[in-house]
Amino acid sequence: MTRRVVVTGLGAVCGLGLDWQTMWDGLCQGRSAIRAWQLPGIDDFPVRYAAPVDDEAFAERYGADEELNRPMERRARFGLAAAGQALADAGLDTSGAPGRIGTAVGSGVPERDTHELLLAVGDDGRPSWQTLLARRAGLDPASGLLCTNDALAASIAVRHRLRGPALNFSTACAGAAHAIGHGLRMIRRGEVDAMLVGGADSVLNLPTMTGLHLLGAPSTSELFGDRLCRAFDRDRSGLVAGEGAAMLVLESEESARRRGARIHAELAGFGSSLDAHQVTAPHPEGKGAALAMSRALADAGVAPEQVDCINAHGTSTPLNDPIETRAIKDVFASGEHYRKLAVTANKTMLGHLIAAAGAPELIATVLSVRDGVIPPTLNLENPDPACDLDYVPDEARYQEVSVAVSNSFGFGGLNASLVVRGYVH
Amino acid sequence: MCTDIPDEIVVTGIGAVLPTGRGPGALWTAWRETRPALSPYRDPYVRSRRITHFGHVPDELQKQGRDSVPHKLRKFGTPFTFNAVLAVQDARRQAGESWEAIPEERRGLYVAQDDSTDLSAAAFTKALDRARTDTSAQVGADLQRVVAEAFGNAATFNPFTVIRALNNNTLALVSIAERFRGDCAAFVQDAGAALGALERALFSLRHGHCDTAMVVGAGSYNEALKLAGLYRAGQLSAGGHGRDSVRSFAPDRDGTVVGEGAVALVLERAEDAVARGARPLVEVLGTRLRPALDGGVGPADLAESARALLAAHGMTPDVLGAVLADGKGTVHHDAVEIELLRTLLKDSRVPVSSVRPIVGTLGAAGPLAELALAPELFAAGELPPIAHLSGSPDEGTDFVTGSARKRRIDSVLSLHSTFNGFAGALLARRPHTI
Repeated sequence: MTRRVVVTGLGAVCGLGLDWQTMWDGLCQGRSAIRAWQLPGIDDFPVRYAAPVDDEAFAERYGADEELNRPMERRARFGLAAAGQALADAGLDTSGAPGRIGTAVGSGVPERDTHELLLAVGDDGRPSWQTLLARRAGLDPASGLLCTNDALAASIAVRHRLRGPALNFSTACAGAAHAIGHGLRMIRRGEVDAMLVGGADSVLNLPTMTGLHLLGAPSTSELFGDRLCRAFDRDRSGLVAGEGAAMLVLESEESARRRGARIHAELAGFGSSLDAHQVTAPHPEGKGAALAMSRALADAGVAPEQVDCINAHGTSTPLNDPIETRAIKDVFASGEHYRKLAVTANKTMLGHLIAAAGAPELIATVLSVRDGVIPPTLNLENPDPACDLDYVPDEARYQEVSVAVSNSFGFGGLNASLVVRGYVH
Repeated sequence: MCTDIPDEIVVTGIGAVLPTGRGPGALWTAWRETRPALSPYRDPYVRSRRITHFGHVPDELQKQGRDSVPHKLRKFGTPFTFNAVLAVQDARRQAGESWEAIPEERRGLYVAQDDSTDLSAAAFTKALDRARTDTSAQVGADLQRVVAEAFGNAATFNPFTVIRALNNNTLALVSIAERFRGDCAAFVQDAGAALGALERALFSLRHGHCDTAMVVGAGSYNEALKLAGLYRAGQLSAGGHGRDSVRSFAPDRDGTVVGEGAVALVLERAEDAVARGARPLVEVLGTRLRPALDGGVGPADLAESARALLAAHGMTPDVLGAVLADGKGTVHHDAVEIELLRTLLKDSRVPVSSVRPIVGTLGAAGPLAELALAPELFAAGELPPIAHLSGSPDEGTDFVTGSARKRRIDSVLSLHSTFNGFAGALLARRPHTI
């Protein structure tokens, strides 16, 4: 059994907005969520820009939702909100088909923020293990849900009564893309009829940001202000972290048509690969990235020359951008089709949502195909000679997009590519 | 090869690094001899009177794990990922030399890992230790600052901490050290992660996304915050019975003992295995993993889920050779499972045992460890008893107590549950090719 898989629901919570339409409007308008940022209580943290979710706006919108306001990680809170939006957008009744609707989500490093560390400090100002035990219990005495890495999948499955397979992927920055891709496979072969897929992540806490900083991943430059994320630009100097969540409802074409659902686009292919090269650097020739793209195209039954647009991983790091460019040129070498591709980097506006990154970028890819708009790559003022493709600088481009590819690559050399095609019955 | 006809997927290589020792044989021997491998809890950073016992991988074996990883990669890994690399090497070795001819691009890698990350345990305790040494009255108010300084000090804080903190650390290290470039996935979901990894590996083999799949489960529950959460949730035994504290299904059970370890399995299509001269050890039929937290999903639903897994492969519960129950030893989990087993097996007389009293609750490695035991069950024709259990907790179910049950075993169903409310099953049988 091979079934076509379509996208029928979208949901997003990110620095650009608290729903997918606001996010999409922001991307098309070239509006960036990246702004000056500091960790609470620290005024000299070396990383000074990020794309955080607006906590006040979130509280205003979801303040009445008791379940979203109980103690949980930020990413789980964002993920639950995005999941609810996606299911509502799809108009999917999750109670009607027990076991036929599942969830697959990507998440990253467990959040160990300083709030949790502060739990260990007693009333006398002294930290102790006993105090930690007691206060942690106070957060969630009934279960061990808090701050475990599968809390996101568990929370979504319980809240929305999704009784099909529930999978929690963890493949670093490719996590959401892997979750989406494996969700596609599960529907295509009839394991389930629909999947709620996506990712949620927040690294804007002291331990994780410090770890990323020590690794040299985020930019510490202050030369460009909030124009710091400069994918494919000569002056790029590292990623700019963001936070948030995005979810999509994937559904078999048959199921979507039977219930008269609005279909945004078709998710046509998925490819994954491993670099097997280095933990902290991609393969210098982009072999893993190229393999993932080639596999995704083959999986979709799409020839490279049919592709119009690539939603690039485009991290603004010195290594990723030229290597991704090289991989694209390899895959689309026939007839020099790479010269005809529009390549865009959403991270210049969303920041890098790390494990969740592939999900809002897939939403943008879906909407590019549906609406014929390609969001711009911001801050591309001095193109790197090694990055010589058409990156849609500065302004959105209005053009028909029949087929688009979304790339996500993770630490450790983990690659995932997804192919989106306009839906035609 | 790509076909919609389900292929026979077999295991041709097994590696295990567990509290019982190296290899599945050590686990099998400990189970047969009713010899628990649980020991007093120890950790360089955490001192606790409440976390009494743990399933530690022996120090010498940990050292072998570290030595198995190329020196240049060690700074990126943790002891738990080193164990995984060693297990993968053992599994490859058993799969035979001809396995090496499979192109790297066609080798899939599917990993299940626990939350055992360097960031959450070691970094936390280092920061806390630093805070403890500060005797100023401002320490509480300034803890953020103290922690920031402790974390920001690269001399004491590994610059690769964030890599070691990633839950896909095992996937990254194994792919690089052991040359896997094919299809991949990694999961974090307690025991459920292994079921997810297995299912995706089966899928990819059946649909031609790879020609061999290495499925790895690795990790440790030895993480300060996780242990604290489990303790407060009442999941851990008080340890009153020492190394015999996991009392699966016994009236005096009071919680589980958690542990650590790594298991790696080489999977491939049976016809491919036979063609290259490999010996199939066990056929993996499939898995089920479902959320079981909300009130609408109880033991009857979970039994139905297991029954559906059997039915998908033309089987009914009464034809099973053995059931390996989860048997965590917690009051709640075991009560649910007793009811599940009663509903699933009724009066079929299918014998039920559990390896949990021997190794404790292993997390991501757990289901794979039980799959690794299947060839031993087939070969020995006996099902070892549930350690420390003197009488059956349910008249309708054949719990194996006292001595091993002798019988031909051609199929095994193992049951699993996670602390976060997922439940699942894994079905395997004797390969047709042996």
